[in-house]
Amino acid sequence: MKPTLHKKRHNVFFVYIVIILIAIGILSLCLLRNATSLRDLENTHHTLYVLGSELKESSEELTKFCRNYVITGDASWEQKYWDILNVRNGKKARSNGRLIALRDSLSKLGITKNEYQKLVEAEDNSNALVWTEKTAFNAMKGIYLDSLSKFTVKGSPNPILAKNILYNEKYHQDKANIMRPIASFRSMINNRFLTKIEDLKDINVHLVFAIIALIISSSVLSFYAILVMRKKIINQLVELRVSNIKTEQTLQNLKNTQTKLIQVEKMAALGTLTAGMGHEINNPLNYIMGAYEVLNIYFEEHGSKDQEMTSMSLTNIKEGINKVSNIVHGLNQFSRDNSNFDEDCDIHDTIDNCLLMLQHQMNDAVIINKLYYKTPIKVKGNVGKLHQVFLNILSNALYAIGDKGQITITTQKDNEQSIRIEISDNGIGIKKSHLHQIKDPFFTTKPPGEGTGLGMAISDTIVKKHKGQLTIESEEGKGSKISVILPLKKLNYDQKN
Amino acid sequence: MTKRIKVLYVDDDHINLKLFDIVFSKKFDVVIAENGVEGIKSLKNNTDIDIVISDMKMPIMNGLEFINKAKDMFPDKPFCILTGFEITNEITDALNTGLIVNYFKKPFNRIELESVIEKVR
Repeated sequence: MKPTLHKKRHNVFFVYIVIILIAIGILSLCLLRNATSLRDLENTHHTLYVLGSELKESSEELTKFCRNYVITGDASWEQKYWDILNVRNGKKARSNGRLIALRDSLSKLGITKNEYQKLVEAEDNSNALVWTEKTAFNAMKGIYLDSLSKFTVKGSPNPILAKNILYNEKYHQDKANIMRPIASFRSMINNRFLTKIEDLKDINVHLVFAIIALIISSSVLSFYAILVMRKKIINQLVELRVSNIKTEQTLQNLKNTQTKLIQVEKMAALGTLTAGMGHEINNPLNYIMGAYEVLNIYFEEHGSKDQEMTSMSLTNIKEGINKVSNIVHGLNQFSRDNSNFDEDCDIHDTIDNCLLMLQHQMNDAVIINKLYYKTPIKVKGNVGKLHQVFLNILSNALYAIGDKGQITITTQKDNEQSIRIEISDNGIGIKKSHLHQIKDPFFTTKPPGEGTGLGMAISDTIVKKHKGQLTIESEEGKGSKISVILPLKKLNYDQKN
Repeated sequence: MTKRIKVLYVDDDHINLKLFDIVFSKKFDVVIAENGVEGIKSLKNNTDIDIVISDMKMPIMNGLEFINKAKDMFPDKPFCILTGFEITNEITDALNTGLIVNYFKKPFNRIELESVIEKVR
C-alpha cells in the first residue's frame, strides 16, 4: 500500500466535495434572490392590476353616481361623485389615510413609457368625460356654457338634457375611449410581467435541477469516499494485525534466541570446566590404575599372606577407579563443547551415564526399571546434546516422583528407520492447562530459583535438530510419559548450531 | 627367541612414566621420555622402537605436535595417544588421517593397551 497515493486521493475527494458544496451554496443564493424578485414582480404585477382596476372601477362609479344624480336629483350623489374624483386625483385622502394621485401611484411602481402613455390617455379621456358629466350636472342646475366654453349662462334646469347627455351615443363612445387604453395598459402590463415571471420561473427550475444534481453528485462522491476510507481502515486494521503477529513472532524468536544463548554460554563454560577437571581427575586415576597393576604383578609373583583380602582390596580399587572414571566420562559427555551432529551415540550408554550423574538425587525408595532393547542402539547425532536431553527428562521425572516412586525407561526399535525411547514415571503429573506450555522457554512450575524453565524447551530443540520428535503425555496425580523418537539412519543434519 | 617389542612412552608426569615402565616392562622393552623433544631424541637413539605412545598435554609441544614432527622423521612407526581428556575433534582428525593409530583414555586399560601393542609384531 502507498499511503501518499491514498492521501492524495483523499485530498482530491475533499476538494471535489468542498467545491460542490460551495457551488450548491452559490446556486441556492441565486435561487433565493430569484424567488425574491419573482415574489416582488408578482406583487407589483398584482398592484398594477389592482390600480388599473381602480381606474376602471372609479370611472364606472363616476358614471353610476352622475347618472343617479340626473335621475333622482339627489345632490348627495354629486358629492360622492366629486369625492371619488378627488381621491383619484390625490386631492382627498384615501380610506387608508394616504393622499396620492392614481397616476403617481402607477408611475412609482416603475412602468414603461408606453404603458404610462396608455394610462395618461385613459385618464385624459376620463377627465374629458368628467367635463361632459359636469355639463350634465350643470344642466340639472340650469347653468349652461357660453361662447367661451364657460358656465356663465343661467336658465331653467333641464333634466331631460342632462339625461340625454349621459345616455347618448357620444357618452358611450367617450366611455369606451377610457376603457380601451385601460385594457391596452393591462394587457401590456400582463405581457411584460408574465414574460418576466415565466423567465424567472424557468431559471428557477434550472437552478433547482442544478442544485439537485449537485447534491446527488456530492452524495455519490461522499459515499464513494466513505467506501474508499472504509477499505483503507479495514486495510489498516489488517496491517495492524499482521504487524502484531510479526511482533509476537519476533518476541518468540527473541525468547528462543535468548534461551539458546543462555544455554550455549552455560554449556560452553561447563564444557571447559568439566574437560579441565576431567583431565585433572583422570591423571591421578591413571596413577592409581598403574599402582593397581603394579600391585597385581607383585602379588602374582610373590603371593600374599591373605590372598582373599588382597584380591578383594585389589578388586575394590579397580571398581573405584572405574566408577570415578565413568562419572568423569559422563560429565564430559554431557557438557562437551562440540557442534558435530555426526557422532555415534549409544543410547543405552547415554541413559546410563545420565542415571549415574543423577545417582546422588535418588534414595532407596526410588526404583528405576530399565526395559532396554536387546542389542545396543546407536544413532548419529551430537553425544553431548543427547545427554542433555535424557538428563533433563530423567531429572524432571525424579522431581515429579519426589522421595518415592518408579521410573521406567523403555527403548525399542519402531522399525528399521527409527527408535523410540519412553521415560515414564508415577509422579505428580502435569496439569492439563500446563501441558501445551511445557515446551515454552521459561515456563516452569517449580519455585523461583529451582528451575529455569528452559529444560524442555532446549530438549525439544535438540530432538528436532536430530530430526526426531519429543512428545509429552501426562495425567495430573498419576504421572507422565515422555517419548523421544530418533531416526536411526544418518540424515543430512544441519551442522550449524 | 623373538625380539621383544620396544615401546616409547612420552609423558610429562614422572609417576605415570614410572608406573608405565613397571607395568609394561614385563612384556615389552619400555623407553620413556618426559616431553616431545626428549621423545624425538629417544626415537633417534633407538631406531628399533616399534610403537610410540604419548600423552596429550605436555610442555614445549603437545602430544599431537610431537607426533606430527616424529611422523615426518619416522613415517612407518605407529603412534598412539593416551590422555585424560575426552576425545576431541583434533584427535578424531588425527585418527582419520592416520597420524595416530589409536586413542587411549586415562586411566589406562592394561589389556587394551597390550593387545594394540602386540599387533605391531
